[in-house]
Amino acid sequence: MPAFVSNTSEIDVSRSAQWTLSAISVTKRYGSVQANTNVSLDLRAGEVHALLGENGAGKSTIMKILYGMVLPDEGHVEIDGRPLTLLSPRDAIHAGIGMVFQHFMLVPTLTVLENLTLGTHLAGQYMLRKSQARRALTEIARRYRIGINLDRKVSSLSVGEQQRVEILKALVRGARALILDEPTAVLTPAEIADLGVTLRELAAEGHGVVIVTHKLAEVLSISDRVSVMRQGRMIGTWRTQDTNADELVVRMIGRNLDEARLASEHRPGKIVVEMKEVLTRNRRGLRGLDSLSLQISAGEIVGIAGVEGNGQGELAEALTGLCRIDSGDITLNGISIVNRPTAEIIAAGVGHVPEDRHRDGGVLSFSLTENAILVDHRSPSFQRHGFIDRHTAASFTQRLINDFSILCSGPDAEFGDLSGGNQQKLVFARELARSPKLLIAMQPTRGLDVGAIEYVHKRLLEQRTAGMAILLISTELEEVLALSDRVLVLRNGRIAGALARSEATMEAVGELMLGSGRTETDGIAA
Amino acid sequence: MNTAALTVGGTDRVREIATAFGLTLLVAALCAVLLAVTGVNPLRAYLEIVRGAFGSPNAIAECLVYATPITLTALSVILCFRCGLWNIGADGQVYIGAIAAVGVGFNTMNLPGALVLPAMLVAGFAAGAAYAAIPAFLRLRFGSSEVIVTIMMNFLAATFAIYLIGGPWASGITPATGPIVSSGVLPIIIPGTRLSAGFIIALLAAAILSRVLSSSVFGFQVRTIGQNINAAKYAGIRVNRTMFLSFAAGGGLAGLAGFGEIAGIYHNLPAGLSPGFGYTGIVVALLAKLNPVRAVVVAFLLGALNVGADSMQRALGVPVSIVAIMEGLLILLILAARLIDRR
Repeated sequence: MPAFVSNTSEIDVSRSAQWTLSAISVTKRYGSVQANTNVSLDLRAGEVHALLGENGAGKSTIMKILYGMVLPDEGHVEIDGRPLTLLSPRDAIHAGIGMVFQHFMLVPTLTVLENLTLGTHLAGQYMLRKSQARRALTEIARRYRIGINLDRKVSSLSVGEQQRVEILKALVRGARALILDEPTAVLTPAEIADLGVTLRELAAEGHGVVIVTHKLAEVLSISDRVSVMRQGRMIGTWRTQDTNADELVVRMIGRNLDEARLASEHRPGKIVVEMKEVLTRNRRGLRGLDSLSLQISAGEIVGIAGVEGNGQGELAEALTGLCRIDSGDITLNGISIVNRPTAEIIAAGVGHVPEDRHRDGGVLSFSLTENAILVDHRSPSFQRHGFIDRHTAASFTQRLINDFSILCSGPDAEFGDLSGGNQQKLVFARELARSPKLLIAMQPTRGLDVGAIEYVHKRLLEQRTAGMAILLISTELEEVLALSDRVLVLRNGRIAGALARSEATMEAVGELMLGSGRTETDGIAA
Repeated sequence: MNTAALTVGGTDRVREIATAFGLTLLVAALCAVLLAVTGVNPLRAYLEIVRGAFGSPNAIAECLVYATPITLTALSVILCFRCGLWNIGADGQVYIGAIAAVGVGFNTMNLPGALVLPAMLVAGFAAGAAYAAIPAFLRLRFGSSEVIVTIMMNFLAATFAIYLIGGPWASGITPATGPIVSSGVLPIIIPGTRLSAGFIIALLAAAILSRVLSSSVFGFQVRTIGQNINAAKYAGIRVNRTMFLSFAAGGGLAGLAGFGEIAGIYHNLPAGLSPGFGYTGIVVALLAKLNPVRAVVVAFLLGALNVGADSMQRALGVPVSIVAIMEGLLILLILAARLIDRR
């Protein structure tokens, strides 16, 4: 307990103290790659500071240097002009710097309380002193208005809740400066709003918060100041209120962005895929898709909007044969594909950009070539007498690399070594290259930077014009609205509403996403 | 490890070899203390190991004799591991393969002489494959751990062999079955030694498996499943079928080891045919980083160490256990160094 009292006083001190954490002229090279060139950045007590930049701009590197995970080749870190020696995260934590990673570092089988006390003074020396820890944690959570149930297992928490636990963890360890790496990448819109509130609260309590992001909307709504990095260099720092989205984009990518929008009229061709009253159950017998019906025609993009976990994953899996369909029918160009093997459905002309490229879309330890032929390795173009034709495969991969400007050392590079954006480009390129009749694009731009998003959107629109039927499943409402000819709102595994392009406004879709009692009963009746 | 510091800047392979070499020296130094304590000059002991392993054509042939079955069991383990399955059952598959080979080798069906050997080979492979198919089926259909099932089936197979030797196939003289027909004996490839064409079969198997894994469609599917089963499903690979086939084929490779021992070395089924070929195969597979070609090299080196150790024991009266200690230490350290390296 005494240890904790001293800790609270530390937080109290920081509330009044005006400190500045700075990185001074930091340069870092990885082999021949210059990750940071002469980067300077300062974080002040009481501010939310956004660090904006495309993938590979060097944001993560400078943050890792601030957190002691990476040592700079030149330059240093200081607090209030006093140089800090950061040889490891331990040093950084000791100096009051905390970091919340994109991939959380929690023990899923332990409770929130146990995770928060793990490895801290709260844990007690030999025995876990739960009641004391509970009192202390409740106090901290209350102060920052972070709502969390200390007794739940981390594995049962939503992503947003896990993130709150991570933030609390940093605070428990006495963090005054808090770095959040892509904090919103995995959150739903409501959770993003909650996070914004928490971050403002932290700033008001005298903490300094850095959010590393490539999403402009967040920068403008949450931050006090924004720094922009491009190609390893710091472009500058501005007060958020003195700048705007257009300016920031130009600073970030070095040019103007032409936003992808549907240009031409919606002139759909014949029906490519039709789902009739499709019902799926998961392992626990719960309904995934609940008598869902939809049609997608050639030359149209059908957007699926909805809060995550309302059947999006099941929809993609049902269409690709990855999950069993309990009843209903799915036809592709008039032929039933219900419960056919995935290989057969793929061969019949279905392309699939899966939601999670690490889990499903690619094999990290494989080369780009192996990933490029992952889906089509059986096709005669890549194999002869059961053996893979490496030359053809490699030149095919090289073509994808060129066409989609994938940043890599060549077809032999390891997939896992690519940045997230380039991995996604390869998966996307692979699926487009197969020229499917139906393309299921699930969260096709998740984790991508603005330039890459623009690129993916353009390609999707090109393919629509070329007559592909595209199912766009995304939790980014703006993306769905910008690209879709028709918007279907998915809720509880059912289509809660279908809107034509002209009717699909943010408000209309949002209302359907959350649902009202009336449509709910309608859905059951149907 | 210390040696890692010596090799900074080198390629991965140079670094790896240097690490292995450095660790061998380290282990040799440690065991030198042990030897010195028992009153043996370590240098003489080590010299005796080297002479025993490489000193004559017969010595080298003995190393290869040792390497033959463990190469095949290592290949078995490698194929299964590459597909994400743990085959701890190679030992049992060796026994079953041997039993089938002996059964055919008695030639009660009076096959023409030229057909006996091929029939034994096929029987050995098929029996090993069928024996492995059982745990594979249980795993894929019911989710039961192939580790547990294969371990248990090892005891079943070894005990079944003892039953045959003591019962239906008892020869009455030695603790072994009666001999197979002479047309079922593999030719010796170095005259005056025990090295049979079984070694060639192991080499061929390694070459074929290497090629299949690296460049065939089947191998691609196996590797994809082993590396990321979700991506394999997503790509439409028939995961269960491929896993079943790899496990069965793995069993077949271990069965071949049984065939090789019968047709190449014993010419009957002795009690205690396998002194743990299956388990040594796991070690070889891991040391070879699941690479079939490297497995041959590792198996040979392990063979050299064991053959050399026997010779050391004969010449200096040093217990073979010392070499077992060396082996154990070396394996632990190499695997540990690799873990450290991976971080």
